[in-house]
Amino acid sequence: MNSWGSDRLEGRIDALLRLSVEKGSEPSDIIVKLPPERPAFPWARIASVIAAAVLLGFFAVQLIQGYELPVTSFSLSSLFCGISPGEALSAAAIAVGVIGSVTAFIPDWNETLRRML
Amino acid sequence: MNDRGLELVRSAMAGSRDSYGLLVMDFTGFVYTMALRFTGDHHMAEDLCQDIFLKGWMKIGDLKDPGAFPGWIATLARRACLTALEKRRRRMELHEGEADLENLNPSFPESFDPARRILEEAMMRLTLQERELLTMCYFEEMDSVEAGEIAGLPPGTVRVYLHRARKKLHDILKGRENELLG
Repeated sequence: MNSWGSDRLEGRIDALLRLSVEKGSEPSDIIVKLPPERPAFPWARIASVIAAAVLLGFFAVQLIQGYELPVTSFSLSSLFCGISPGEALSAAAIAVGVIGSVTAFIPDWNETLRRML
Repeated sequence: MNDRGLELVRSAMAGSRDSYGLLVMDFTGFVYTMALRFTGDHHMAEDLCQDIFLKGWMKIGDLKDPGAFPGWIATLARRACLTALEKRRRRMELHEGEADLENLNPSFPESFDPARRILEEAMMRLTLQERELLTMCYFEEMDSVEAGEIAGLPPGTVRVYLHRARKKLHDILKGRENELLG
């Protein structure tokens, strides 16, 4: 950037502005701490989410098989008939929880989630 | 950026924590000053520094051109500062109703020499946009085009704002020459 004046004050302001953004212009007690390692692509996280989902699915299947269910109709009406408001609420809570957990694993969404909470 | 800087960025992009650590040492001055001029709060600026460099470390693998590092870190810093300001604004609105958000008492570190303190106090009397542009345009010889891209302004507007900001700063500091030069 060109100097913006020839008088001493302008020159001094110019120099101070320049110095204020240079290396070492921060207070000496500022120490930036970095984590030991930068995670590469979050394969490990994705794998752990999938593993957790499979495990939960397995337990859910075990649980459902424990009930003596009548012959199941797969029509949409039969899916929703007989659901009490409490069950619907629980299902919604579980869905929100699962979506929230998955979101927490996606780095770009972490910030949004943190802001929401 | 000089050759050493470019080499450090390349190495950091490839995953070298040590190289990124050296870049952090090189750029903490700018990032801290940017955060201080956005927030007017030394402690908040300190925390922002940590957040910005941590975010940079997580995302440096996405950087395409090593030469773009200064602009990239400036963009990260600006976004983080704006988010922090917005959070503070909301918090203050919640807790203090109609608080005067423009006239917060700035806090600067004890270690600043008198001239730097006078400069920072004068800077706090400029608008946020003027402070932001003045800070960026003295960093790594950034020109009005690059500063405009980061701030979302046309280069001509950046030049006008800069001219106005310098004049205001000059007027504010007029009469304090001896303290600044001493």
